[in-house]
Amino acid sequence: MKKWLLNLLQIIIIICFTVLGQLIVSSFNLHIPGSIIGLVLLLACLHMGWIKLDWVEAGSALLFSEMLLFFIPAMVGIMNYPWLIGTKGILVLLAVIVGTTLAMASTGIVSKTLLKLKAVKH
Amino acid sequence: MFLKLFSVVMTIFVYLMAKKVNKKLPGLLFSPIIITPIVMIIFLLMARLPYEEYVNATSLFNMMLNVVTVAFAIPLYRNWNVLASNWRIILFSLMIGSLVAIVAGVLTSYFLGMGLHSEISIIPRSITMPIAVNLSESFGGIPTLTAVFVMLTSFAGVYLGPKLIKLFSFKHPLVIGMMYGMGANVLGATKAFESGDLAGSSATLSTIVGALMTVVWAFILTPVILTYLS
Repeated sequence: MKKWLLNLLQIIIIICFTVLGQLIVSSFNLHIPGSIIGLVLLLACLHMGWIKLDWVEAGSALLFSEMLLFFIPAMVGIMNYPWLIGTKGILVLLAVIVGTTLAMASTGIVSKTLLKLKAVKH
Repeated sequence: MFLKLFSVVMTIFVYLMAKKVNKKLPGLLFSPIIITPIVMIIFLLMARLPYEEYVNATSLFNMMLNVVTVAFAIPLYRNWNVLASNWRIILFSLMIGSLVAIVAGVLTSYFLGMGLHSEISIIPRSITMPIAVNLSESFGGIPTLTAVFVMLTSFAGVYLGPKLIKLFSFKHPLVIGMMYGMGANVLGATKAFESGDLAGSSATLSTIVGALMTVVWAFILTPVILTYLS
């Protein structure tokens, strides 16, 4: 089979799980994103062996390599907030940078310490 | 109609071009995720096409973002053993990380005097977009503002990541992944995959678990924030 056709088929399998997740969310009126349900379902099917890793692996690799493209419309949304360019925007950016630094550093330091403790125990 | 269709084709074209440019000029500033939106914003302003129409036209992109989220099941499955055997560490680190993210966000926006609605909108900013927007809505935040905070945070996280890795000499792929997943969610996960499959998977898992943790903290903390800051 041609490579692009194989990739396409694999992506279609993943799309099926996405649609299934969204169907479940809308029919049971759940307040969880459908994609999370789809992810859990696909993970479960992989574990059960109902879906083989080879059936989806190449397709997912292609998705990941081009995924930045899908973020672009959300990024363009910044144009609705012109005040972001200016003093207020700089302040917001500052708040975001400080908060993100603290969150990332604390997550990293805590997990690094815990992993070290675990390694010492063994 | 033609203009909408054109904006979709143009987005893909500019993205492909930007990728080529990025190969010659590496660095986040020349990344397609910076260049493409800038070009598109200029185009939309010049063509007088409102953002809402552009979003409608590009709804397929949003759907593909959901598909990408589902596809994260594959690296999660590949690295399941390592992740499962460290679940306590992952859970505890993310509990701390999400608490710090909320408290730091609320405090900084409070000291900047951004107003209560902005303070609530900033609570879910370090988690994945769809959950963040839902959460913001249910607590009286402004969903579109939350979306902007999420994007800004993801960028800050991807930008800060390598610096923090150097500063604190983080080496373990689990640690690097959790840091990116907690700080920059899905965008962070793509960055984490650059340093390996395990780091990327750990970032993916952290994106999801971190989001759940943030939901729990938000339920506990929002009443407190509302009482003390209003």
